[in-house]
Amino acid sequence: MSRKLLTPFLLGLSTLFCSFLQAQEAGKTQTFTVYGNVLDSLTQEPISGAAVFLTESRAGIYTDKKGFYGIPTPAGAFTLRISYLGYAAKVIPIQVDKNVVMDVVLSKDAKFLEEVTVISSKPEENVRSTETGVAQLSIRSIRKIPAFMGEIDVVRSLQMLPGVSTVGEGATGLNVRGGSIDQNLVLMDDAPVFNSSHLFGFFSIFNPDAVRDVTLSRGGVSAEYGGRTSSVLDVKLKDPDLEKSSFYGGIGMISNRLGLEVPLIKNRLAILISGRGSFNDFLFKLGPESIQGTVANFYDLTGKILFKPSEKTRLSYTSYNSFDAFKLPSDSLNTVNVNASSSRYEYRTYNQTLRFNWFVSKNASFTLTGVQSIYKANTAVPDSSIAFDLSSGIRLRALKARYVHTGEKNNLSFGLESTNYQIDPNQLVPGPYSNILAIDIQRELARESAAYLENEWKFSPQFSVIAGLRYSFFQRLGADTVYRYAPEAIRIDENVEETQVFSKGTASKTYGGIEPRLSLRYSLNENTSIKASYNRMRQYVQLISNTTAALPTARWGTSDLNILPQIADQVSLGFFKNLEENRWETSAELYYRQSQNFPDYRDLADLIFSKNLEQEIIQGEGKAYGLELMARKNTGFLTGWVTYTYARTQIKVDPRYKSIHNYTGAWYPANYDKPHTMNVMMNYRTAINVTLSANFTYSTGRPATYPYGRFIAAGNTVPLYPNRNLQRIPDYHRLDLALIVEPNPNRIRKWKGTWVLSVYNLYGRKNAYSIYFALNQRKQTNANKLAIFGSAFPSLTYNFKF
Amino acid sequence: MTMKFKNSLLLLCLGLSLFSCVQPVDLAVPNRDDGMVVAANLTTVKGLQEVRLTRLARYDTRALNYPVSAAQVWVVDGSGQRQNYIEDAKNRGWYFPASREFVGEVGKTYVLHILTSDNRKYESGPETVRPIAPIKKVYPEPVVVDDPKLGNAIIGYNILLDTEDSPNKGDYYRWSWIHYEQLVYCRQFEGVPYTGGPETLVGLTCCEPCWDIVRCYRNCTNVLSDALINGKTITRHPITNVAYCARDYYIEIQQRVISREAYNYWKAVDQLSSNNGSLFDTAPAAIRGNIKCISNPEEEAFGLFEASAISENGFFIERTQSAVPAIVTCPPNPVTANPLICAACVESAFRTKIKPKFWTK
Repeated sequence: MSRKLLTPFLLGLSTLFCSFLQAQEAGKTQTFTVYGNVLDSLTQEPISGAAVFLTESRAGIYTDKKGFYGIPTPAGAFTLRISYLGYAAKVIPIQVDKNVVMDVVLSKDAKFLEEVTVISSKPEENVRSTETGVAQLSIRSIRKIPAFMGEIDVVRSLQMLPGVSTVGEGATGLNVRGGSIDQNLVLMDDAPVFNSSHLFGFFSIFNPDAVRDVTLSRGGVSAEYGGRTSSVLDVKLKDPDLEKSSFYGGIGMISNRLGLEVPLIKNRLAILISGRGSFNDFLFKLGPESIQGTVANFYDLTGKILFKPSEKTRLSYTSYNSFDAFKLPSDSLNTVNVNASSSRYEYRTYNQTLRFNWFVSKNASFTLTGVQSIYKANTAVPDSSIAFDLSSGIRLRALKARYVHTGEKNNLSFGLESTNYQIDPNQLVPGPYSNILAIDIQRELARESAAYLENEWKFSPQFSVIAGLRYSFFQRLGADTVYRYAPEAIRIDENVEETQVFSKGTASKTYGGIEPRLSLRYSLNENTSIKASYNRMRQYVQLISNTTAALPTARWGTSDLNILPQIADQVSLGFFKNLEENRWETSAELYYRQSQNFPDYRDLADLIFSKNLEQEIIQGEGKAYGLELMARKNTGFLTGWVTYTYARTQIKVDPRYKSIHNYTGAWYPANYDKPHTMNVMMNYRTAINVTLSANFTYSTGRPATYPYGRFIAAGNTVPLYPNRNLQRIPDYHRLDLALIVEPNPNRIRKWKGTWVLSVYNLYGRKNAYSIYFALNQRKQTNANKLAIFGSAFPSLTYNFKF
Repeated sequence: MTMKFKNSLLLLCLGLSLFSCVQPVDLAVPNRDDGMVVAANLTTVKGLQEVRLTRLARYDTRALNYPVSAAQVWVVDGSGQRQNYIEDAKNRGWYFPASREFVGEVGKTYVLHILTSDNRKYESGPETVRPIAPIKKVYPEPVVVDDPKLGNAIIGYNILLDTEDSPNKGDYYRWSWIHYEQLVYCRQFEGVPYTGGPETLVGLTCCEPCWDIVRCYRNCTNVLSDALINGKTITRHPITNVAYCARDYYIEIQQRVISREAYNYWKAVDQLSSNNGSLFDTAPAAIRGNIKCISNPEEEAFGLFEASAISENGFFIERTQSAVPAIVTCPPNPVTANPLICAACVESAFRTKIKPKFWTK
């Protein structure tokens, strides 16, 4: 099979080579030159080694290191053909009567067998870049990972990378190198995302049709980023195509998608609109009677406008809007101490980004970005006498300026940013006939400012260093009423010494400090390098949640007089080696991370209506360490990766809090402490348009606390718990398969349809979602395992593009 | 987060998957069964003072909370007055005041003391009886379902309560109920089948008026803080629900105003007993009552001594007056075994000859 397909390619290559020789002999008559640059459509980076070829005269050349080419040719009408491995070839008719400048942009294309790569960055980047712990996934490789219910999912696919885990199937967010979910800075076109999940946590909010690529920095985080202590997940959306219109979409079991890209002014102005909606209530109708009244729907809409007024400037605007709603019948959220007949939950994200790029010179660029991120959650109960509406929200507005200068020996960047937070913790609004009292918890206002300077020194091909310094400054702003507690005393009502009131606009507390970032690389040879990094990160806002997996309605809170900012220091050491001309990449990374002021909560904390959150939060210490191993095959019919992670995360709470926390003074595992994780991801091309992909994942079960004793109080069996998280739920493993049938690339058709057949949990492993205890006299054992994905899940998705 | 919400979340997950399943698993769980558990009530109503002492049980199907017998139990009020309790002859581990007339008084503070037969000494925190407003109204509300055969049909009744909250902040309420079922048959037994058919339930009628006492036995932590309704009327607060049967139904409702510590204890009981191991569980917590071991401060003691005033109300649900058809759930009715013999009404914690307070018939 492979030989059959390789032959035409090799033939083409030899023809090209021959014609190149012939071209050398020509040129006795008046000659002109066709020249220009070949660039990658996404990264705008030069493509070296691309073949540029005049079909009629059979003259051609390869582009040089900087993507430049020049072909001498006599006058006449020609067809210029530009091709490069992994990119769609371009054919451009040209009229040569003088020297012709022709810059060409190539887009990546998955058609050719040899070009299946699982990463979007160049394979040798692994060894040659200075950073550690950075993984980039292109949307193309994400599409190759078998998806649950056929929903291509950015966040789920990241769980296949080393060092990334989650507390369970259906849980929101990611845990990266021992961080909690709110310690990841999740950016979508520069705008922070506060909840990256649809339907609790089954799916992520990123529409795969609109995503270009995803970069996760878990080790050496650039000084450009700050405000979170664990990692940066940077999701970049596609730029709308400036040259041609396209229309695409998909039909799946969970959601349906539709997208559109239209150049409004060719090569200047284009727009992208991509939407996704789920209307899967029918699934509940099939279920037992108790859930038939359940409503669970989501939609999201992504829009982007790109304007290029000149070659040197670029303006883009991104708008993202997502909405989730679910109604639970007959039962209620009893958190607010009322009994209701039904509850409706809603949450929405509304993000906007306006970005201006100015390419000052060939080596320098300036970027100005303004973002607004809004997240709102709402719970409503309709029953008239207890009707209420409980809402919380967070709004972030930020302005960032960044200057980058790239050079032979140095890459310099610096920037400034300022972020304003407005948090409306929880507001309870009673209905018109309701007896519920209104509650409005004081709005939290805060400002976080930062300045950074970073430089990469390429001392020699062997040795390079990135050193960055970030200074962040945080102000909690009034109006604010804060308690001062007796020094050294624990934060409970009894220890309040005075109440201080701050007027609007005054800072009730400020924090600040430097955050050094350092990455070193030393190459032992062309294919082997050793890297090390050190980071300090500070975090001033956090998600207030003490459930195992965070609820979408959980509120956010900022640091204040009593709640100190979180600070994390991470060191990591990596060994990187590529084999067989980058066909294989291998890496081993070790890390140790220590955090101060890691949040934990008092027993049975009231996080919804607490006006003094510092009494609910107990700040402790956190430590995390681990080893991440990875081997990846980049090219060939069979591509993919294997990873193994050993990771531990532990928390310790101040022993002074013994009276309000059931486990203090000793280290205990965090909810997401899963020591062993192994992932295998494989893509196999069986035919030119058919890919078979498989992934396998194994991990230690998450920690759990099982009761050790019980007593009866008012007819309730009250469990007694020993120290936290000392037991574990059973280990998790799963195999998924997907068969992707793409249109035959040899047939040129306008309509391109792709079928994706996937089976999630192929061997139907009944993985434990949770362990619960039922004291049933008739059963031998009282521990039960609930598996919610307890069988194989087949799904079929159809995607189209024209 | 209570059980209800989390269960709904689980159901949602189930709905999404449809292929979920539950399987028993074997887990090595540490166990312990030492530790004193106290369930003690002191009220302003005669006959509603009791102290129940048990030991902790392992978290296991077969484990039992064994009663703590032969302990010395007494209550001391703020002025130093002591009331001794004595263990019930029939029910080990249950202690009642030596004087049946003993009641708590509003404004007084009480402390419970326990000395076990192995010389372990326990003490409660001080509990003050707070004044209480009367129940404004208790009323039944029919629960109507759409039955495929009958159309709109009554399946049962929700019992709801209204009460005025005082303008003071920091009131905590707890409700309980007792149902009295007047008996026709004081003894019942399976009859001998005549011709291999199903067994017939037969009974002997009572010699005198007699009532079965039915108390809440499951999920009875019905508490409310006035934080959300301070000074307004608490309306339509659910007390319990009753299935339909064409007989009038008598129920008494008790309303208590309890301390903040007691409220927190009941909330914790509710929250902990509804944690179901799901991803949306809150972190496991310790339950803190107001009982301490004095003889050994290292020893953990569990449970609560609650002192409260009680406001009571009782009424009949006139189940026979229903205008719409009903779906009937009735206990089986025995056949009189011998009309010449009657059975005595034996006084116990679950049966009484004394006519209930609000019995108007």
